[in-house]
Amino acid sequence: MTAPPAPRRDLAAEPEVARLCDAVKSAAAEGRVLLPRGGATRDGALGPFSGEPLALAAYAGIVRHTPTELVVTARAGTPLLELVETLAAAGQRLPFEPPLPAREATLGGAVALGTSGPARAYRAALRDALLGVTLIDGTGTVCRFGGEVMKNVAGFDVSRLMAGSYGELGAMLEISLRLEPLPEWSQTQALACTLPEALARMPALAARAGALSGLAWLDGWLLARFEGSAVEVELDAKAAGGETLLPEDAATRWARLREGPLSAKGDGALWCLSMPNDAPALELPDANWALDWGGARRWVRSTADPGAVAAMLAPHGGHGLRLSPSVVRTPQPAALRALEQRVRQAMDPSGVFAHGATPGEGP
Amino acid sequence: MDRSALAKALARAVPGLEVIAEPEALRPFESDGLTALRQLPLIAVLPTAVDQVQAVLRYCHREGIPVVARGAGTGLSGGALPHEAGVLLVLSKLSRILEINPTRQTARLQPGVRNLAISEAAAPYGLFYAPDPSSQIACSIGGNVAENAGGVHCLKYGLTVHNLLAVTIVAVEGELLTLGGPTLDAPGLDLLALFTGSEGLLGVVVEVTVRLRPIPAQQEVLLAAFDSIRASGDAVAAVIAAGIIPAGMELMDKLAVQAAEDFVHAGYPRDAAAVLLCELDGEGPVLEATRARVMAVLREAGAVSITVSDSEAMRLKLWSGRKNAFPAVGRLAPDYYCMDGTIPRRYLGEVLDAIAQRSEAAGLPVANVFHAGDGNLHPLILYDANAPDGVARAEALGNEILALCVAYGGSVTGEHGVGVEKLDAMCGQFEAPELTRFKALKAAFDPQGLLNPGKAVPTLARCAELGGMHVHHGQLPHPELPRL
Ligand SMILES: Cc1cc2nc3c(=O)[nH]c(=O)nc-3n(C[C@H](O)[C@H](O)[C@H](O)COP(=O)(O)OP(=O)(O)OC[C@H]3O[C@@H](n4cnc5c(N)ncnc54)[C@H](O)[C@@H]3O)c2cc1C
Ligand SMILES: Cc1cc2nc3c(=O)[nH]c(=O)nc-3n(C[C@H](O)[C@H](O)[C@H](O)COP(=O)(O)OP(=O)(O)OC[C@H]3O[C@@H](n4cnc5c(N)ncnc54)[C@H](O)[C@@H]3O)c2cc1C
Repeated sequence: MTAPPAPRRDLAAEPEVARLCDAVKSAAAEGRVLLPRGGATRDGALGPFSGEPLALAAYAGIVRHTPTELVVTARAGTPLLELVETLAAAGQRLPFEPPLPAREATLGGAVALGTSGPARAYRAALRDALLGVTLIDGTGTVCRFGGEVMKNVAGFDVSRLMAGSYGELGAMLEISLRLEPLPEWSQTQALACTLPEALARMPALAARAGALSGLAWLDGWLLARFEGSAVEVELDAKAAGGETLLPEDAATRWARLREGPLSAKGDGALWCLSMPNDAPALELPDANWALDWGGARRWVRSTADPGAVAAMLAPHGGHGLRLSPSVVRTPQPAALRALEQRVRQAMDPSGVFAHGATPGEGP
Repeated sequence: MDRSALAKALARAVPGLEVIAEPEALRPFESDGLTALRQLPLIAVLPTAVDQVQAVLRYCHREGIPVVARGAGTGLSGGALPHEAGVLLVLSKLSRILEINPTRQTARLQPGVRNLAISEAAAPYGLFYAPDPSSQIACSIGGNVAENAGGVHCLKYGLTVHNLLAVTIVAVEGELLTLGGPTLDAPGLDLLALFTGSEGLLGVVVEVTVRLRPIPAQQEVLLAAFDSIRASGDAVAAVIAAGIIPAGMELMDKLAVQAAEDFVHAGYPRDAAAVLLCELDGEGPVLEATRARVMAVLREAGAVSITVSDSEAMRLKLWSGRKNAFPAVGRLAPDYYCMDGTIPRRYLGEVLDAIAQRSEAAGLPVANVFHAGDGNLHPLILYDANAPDGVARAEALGNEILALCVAYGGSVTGEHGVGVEKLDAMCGQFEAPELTRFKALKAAFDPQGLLNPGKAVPTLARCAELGGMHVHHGQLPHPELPRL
């Protein structure tokens, strides 16, 4: 006999949640602005914010992990690292390979920033794995969107909308995610080459169906990672050629790609650019590059100003996020910006969460 | 405005636009795949260019006329059911494949492109479009986006939402907007995710960029027979629990198996209580290794026999029973009603048993043929619409089944959408706070409520009226709302 289904819990009845709801309600009534806050690891980078912190880090813990279902539900304040470790102990992982910047970084923060790692191009983005979100909306009311099932088209997909919402659509309480089994085997092949050579070679490597889970270029090496069953990985790695990296060496390089491969310190500005993988090698002054996502994500440190970066990306339909010295993004079409603003108001009518954490548009 | 006045006005406002206003000519458009519901639109228009779509919306927006978008009309929830005082905007003539880009592994499509046509056009490049609804010969990519359509291969390769890069829409006032873009992630809010599955309520899709995937080297299908439906459901959960994600896992119960056998002679064991079709893909040695693991799990789970396809012809034959299951079941009774609930996979066996009990109590046979790997049930309720209470009894059983899915932590629709059909069922799954946000999101795109009005999201008043029927954990939903 399977256990009977878990009854739907009434989160609003939990004292901690009731307190958070009250905080949102009174802020809304008094016209104050709140900033949902997890581990605050991005406080420095994303500032300055208006608004008082609404602390969610204490609302932590795994609510339900059903390994046989490949699904986990955790509170938003759960440290990401703790989640990753718990899942690994059960032979599972998050399919989107999130950055793990510090012990304090939370699941809620990761979802709010919507950041995915190298696996994004060939496996899943964070938003792809989101199945459900329970949140406090701008009226201080608990709402539950999505759930723990793989397929669900009842109502609008607010759960996925929360990925990359920067805390401006509501405060997330619980998050349900699809998981994947840890691969039996992981192997990285490395080929020494220049950046343009890497860009030219990558499409052929991605043209083969199989175990590819990462395709990058870092420090003069093209890196192709394969994950899956031992048989599958061995076949694909052999077809890719190059030399096989030692597991620890490979893990270090992929961790760098996951968390930001170029140092935030140094001259010029650090950018994370998104563009089609077939965009050519771009020319920027004093540039230092790294490629991820088969060339569709390009990290660069350069002295170019934001206007020059935006102008260079435009013909390719690309966009960019400058991470240092301060966070700005390349401009978006005005019509889209207006629609986004109306969507924010729909979730948060009185603007309690309108704290301006979403990166501003440069220059 | 009456029919002919509107037809004249639109023809004048939008030069070259094909307008249909004769009731007889409108007949083919009066329903989608849910044929129990029929309604003639005031007029139908069939644009052949994006600027015509814009002009139609600009005109209707100015005049306050409702607009219902329609793709191929294969939807099963009445999503494309016309509005009696509105324009039916038929997108089937916008059917060009604009670009296949093998380096990017993407395709750019007009909304009326048929789902199967995408994979056919991509095949010469060694690529395919993974989401493959059973209706793929007919259904359009625009309709797939609007419903977040799924299919057999979505277990491994994801639903429509996972395979989209960009959607260009015409907003209600006629403006062109692109959600997403040619990059893997787009800046700002993920409006592409919000739009996917929005059933024509937020905008009209006029262009879609999808991701393509490399065609697997080889495919094979395993057919496992079980002597109880319970065991077959538990077997599906056991495969997932073993950490194996096959390319597809579909279940058929005895009624569906026998109907399919009679119809296409696919070679299914007629005496089995249930048949599981499990597709595997990859290169030879990979297939061999996975096959061994899957067979061990299935045997352990009680499979009484397992057949493996040994040729492409045999693979297609084994699938033909599944692919033709709906029409096959359709021959068993004057009418059938297709449900679309989802549940966590570990409850499959239990819920299938519970459905069988309810079917017996209601005196209406139910055939099950569904996307088991995703926990997406398709109970087909067999009934006779001409019998007294025929429709009402089928609907009552359907609603019982959907309530069961919700009670098990699932959803009232996995891929067919709410349309008009599941408005009441929505009241059982959501409460006032969520419904209020849905309404507000709709208004963010369409403040006057002109796009596909009355679909997908029930009003609070409707749910309050139903309140008595959906008692949730002993509590009336929406206690804050007045009872009628
Ligand atoms: C500009 C930028 C730079 C980054 N740089 C790096 C880097 O160099 N290295 C690296 O490894 N990772 C980096 N990341 C990723 C980031 O550190 C992780 O995603 C981390 O998980 C954030 O978690 P946190 O708990 O610290 O979030 P916080 O810093 O607390 O919050 C980040 C954002 O999420 C919102 N938020 C937090 N919790 C919730 C909640 N429960 N509900 C709603 N909103 C919430 C906040 O309002 C805020 O907008 C970067 C991300 C961005 C956007
Ligand atoms: C035999 C059969 C099998 C099926 N199998 C499956 C299956 O396996 N998986 C599955 O997911 N579905 C299945 N369906 C349901 C149906 O095929 C899908 O929902 C499909 O996505 C609908 O596409 P369509 O072009 O026919 O859309 P329509 O039925 O014309 O419209 C569906 C909805 O989308 C809206 N819409 C259509 N085009 C646009 C547009 N361009 N812009 C905005 N809104 C638009 C309509 O307003 C309506 O709300 C099946 C149907 C049948 C008849």
